[in-house]
Amino acid sequence: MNSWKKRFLILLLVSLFIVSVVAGCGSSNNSKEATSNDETNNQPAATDNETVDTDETSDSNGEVITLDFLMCWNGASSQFPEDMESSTIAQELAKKTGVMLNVETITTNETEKLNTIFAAGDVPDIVNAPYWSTLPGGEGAAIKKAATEGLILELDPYIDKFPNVKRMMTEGISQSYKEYDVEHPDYGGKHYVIPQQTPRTDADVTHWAYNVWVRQDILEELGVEPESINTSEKLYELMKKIQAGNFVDINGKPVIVSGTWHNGWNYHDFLRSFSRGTVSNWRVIDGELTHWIMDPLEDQKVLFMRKLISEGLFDPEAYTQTDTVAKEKIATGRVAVLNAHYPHLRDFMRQTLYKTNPEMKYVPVGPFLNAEGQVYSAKESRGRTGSPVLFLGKDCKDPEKALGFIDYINSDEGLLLVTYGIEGVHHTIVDGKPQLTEEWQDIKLNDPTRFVNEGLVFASNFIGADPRPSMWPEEEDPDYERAKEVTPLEFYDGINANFVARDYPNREIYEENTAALDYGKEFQRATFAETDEEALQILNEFRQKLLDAGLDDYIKYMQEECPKIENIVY
Amino acid sequence: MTKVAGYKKSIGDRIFNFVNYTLLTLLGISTLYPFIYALVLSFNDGHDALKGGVYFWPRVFTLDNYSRAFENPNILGAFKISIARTVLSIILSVFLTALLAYAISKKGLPGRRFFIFFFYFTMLFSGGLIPRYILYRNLGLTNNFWIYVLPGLYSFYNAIVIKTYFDGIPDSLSEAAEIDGCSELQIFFRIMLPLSMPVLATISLFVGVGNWNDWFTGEYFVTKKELIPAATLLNKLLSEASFESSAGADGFQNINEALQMRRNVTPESLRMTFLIIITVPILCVYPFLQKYFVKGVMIGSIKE
Repeated sequence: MNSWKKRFLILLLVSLFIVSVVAGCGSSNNSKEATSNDETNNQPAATDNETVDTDETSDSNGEVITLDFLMCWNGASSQFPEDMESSTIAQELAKKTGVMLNVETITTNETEKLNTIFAAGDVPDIVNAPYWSTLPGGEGAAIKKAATEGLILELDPYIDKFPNVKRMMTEGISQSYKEYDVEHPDYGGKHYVIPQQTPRTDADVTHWAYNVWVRQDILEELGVEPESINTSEKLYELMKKIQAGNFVDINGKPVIVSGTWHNGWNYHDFLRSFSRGTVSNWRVIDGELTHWIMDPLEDQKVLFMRKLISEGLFDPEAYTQTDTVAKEKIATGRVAVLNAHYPHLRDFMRQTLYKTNPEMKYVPVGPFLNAEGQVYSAKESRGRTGSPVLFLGKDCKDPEKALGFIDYINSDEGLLLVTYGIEGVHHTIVDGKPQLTEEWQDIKLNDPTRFVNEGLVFASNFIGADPRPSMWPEEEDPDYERAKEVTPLEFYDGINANFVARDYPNREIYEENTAALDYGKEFQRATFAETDEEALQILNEFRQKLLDAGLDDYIKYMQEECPKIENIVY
Repeated sequence: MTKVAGYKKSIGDRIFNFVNYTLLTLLGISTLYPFIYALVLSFNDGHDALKGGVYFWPRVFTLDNYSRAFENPNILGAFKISIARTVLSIILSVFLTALLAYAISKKGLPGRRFFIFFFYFTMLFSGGLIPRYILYRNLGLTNNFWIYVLPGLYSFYNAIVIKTYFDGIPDSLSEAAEIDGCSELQIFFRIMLPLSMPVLATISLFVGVGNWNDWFTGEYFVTKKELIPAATLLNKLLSEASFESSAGADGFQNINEALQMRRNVTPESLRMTFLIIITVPILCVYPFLQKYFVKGVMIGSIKE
């Protein structure tokens, strides 16, 4: 090659080399840049001050815009039509609201996805994401930070026009959740998130019916009535009888007396008699407020589980087994006594054990009595604490249309459309209640993909203060009703003490000092101890570690602050 | 067992051979069996498999697990994307990496140590996910097919492997070519590359398998359905199955149970099926490259 050609080539390659090195520097004019605490960015475009009567269900003016929607839940893509444009319900919604969605779903960690979109400034028009709490480390914290940095649209200029959206922000959420998370003090009185998947009334709350379940055929053979097992001690005696009874699973293998699902979920229900019926990490014992770890009942829990394990009444693999291993045991009826909530047990067993061995049906035992002598109940705050939320990106193409879309779905007309479809096509009205036609009932059961693609599922992800469970109750399931009776649902009002604990001035230091401590693992280690003394020693060592980390001071703070709150709930 | 003329195997040799072959056979089975197990489970009814006891053949044969994968309307497109990115990446990456390796193998290259350190540094540190996302977005690579090819073109580890191989080729060959009037490029194409087939086959397989199995890029940097590769799509189907198996997650409508029951598939059976789907194409290619691996088994070892 001529030397000048060679030199030209060298210069060209070196230039390319340098360009590739500096390519990442600087910013693009086309990118949405993250801003920080710039109030002007929170101001919406000029708004229309006319109030709109949203009881009128007028069609949009024909103009349909496409809004980018991020469903920030790992694996939730199965709830959305493959192609929104072809979905009948999505098209109807577009006619009514002028909005068509371009849906993005994820199969990765939600917090990571949120951090990525916020850092890059690429926040979609509408996002549905978890918002369990705004404590550091989770999705809620990422959303709160983004809101305070101006990446999320402030909703106050708009919500008066959309009463259904406004209702979602005020109803169906607990007082604690509202004050400490939805209207976090850092928001300065402004509103950014719309809680979703919340109930409208107590009757709309899902009662999961967690229970202790025993194989019915075993109980019948032993002549034990489920209602007679009302304490942990009586459960222990039942387990001893099962152990002596030589019961087997469907393959003829001896049963494991008691066990759990993956990773020990949920052995705590075996310990119901050692519960005080509290709902927070704080207890009043002999008139004095203290942390749950200092409760003497914790000693009894450890000793009870140790007894079960040392006498071969509890599956030693339960704490660490994978989902696959756990299901292999349970699907064959190998675990005589287990815990679960009713829907989980029902859905799994219907597809496995109950198909071939209906006589091995599991029934709930109880009701149990707790340490206070009261019936053990599932406690729920009135209104949900922690929920999915919807929020709009700062650069949402059309906030009014986006909110109008959500508002319409939550109207009476919208709820009917997105749940039961179009009258005469997907459903008919029978005795004043909508009912899917036979054709669509069959499709729902046998071709659920088509049901989803029609659009009869996805819009549930925009509903809050949901009245549907009580408005359109589903067919009663006697087993579910029985499970609900055995473990009743009880509502409480007031401020949960855990929220008061958030304001402890040294909370972050305390959490940093205790970050490496894992009570679950210590508890499990204690239950495998050789003797009771050794088990209690492990428990007391853990207590000491918390005290060394500053638990005493934490308790003193709570003892001072909690009495100041009138409706504090422990 | 071949007999060397004039050499009779002693009893000790025979015993050793017997034990040796037995152990190696057991090792082979323990390596092969997990794959066989995955294959068997992929053809077994998902809920039946939960009961355990399936070892060497399906107890309840079904093609439902494969149907679930292939009924997705995007699956063929996803495979096309996977094939395209794998082929392009192999060709471009291997060529450019070999070019880099040749350059840094030349002891007379000005600034050689600087260049080696410059590329080596990239092996030690990474900017992290978010800076990468911002960089790709600014370069227009997000939602673009070239996200699968361009960022992965250079791997310094691969360059070192090729450079080590080049170091083993006698200098006299390139000197002779230089005397005959060849330029560096001509030496590279006519002497170095033809003699380096084993290492190029090895690197091609590294690059190919890496691209074929990569689901991460499609998940984080691409949102257009028509652009996601097979590994990302199969991962998405697996996540959907796990989501569907969590009862009550969809609240009022409870479609999850119906979605699960439409076929007897479970996340576990789907996981095995996807493993087979994603591995079989690589298994089909491997025999064609095997001879090069045999030759290339000493790559990176000490050269005399």
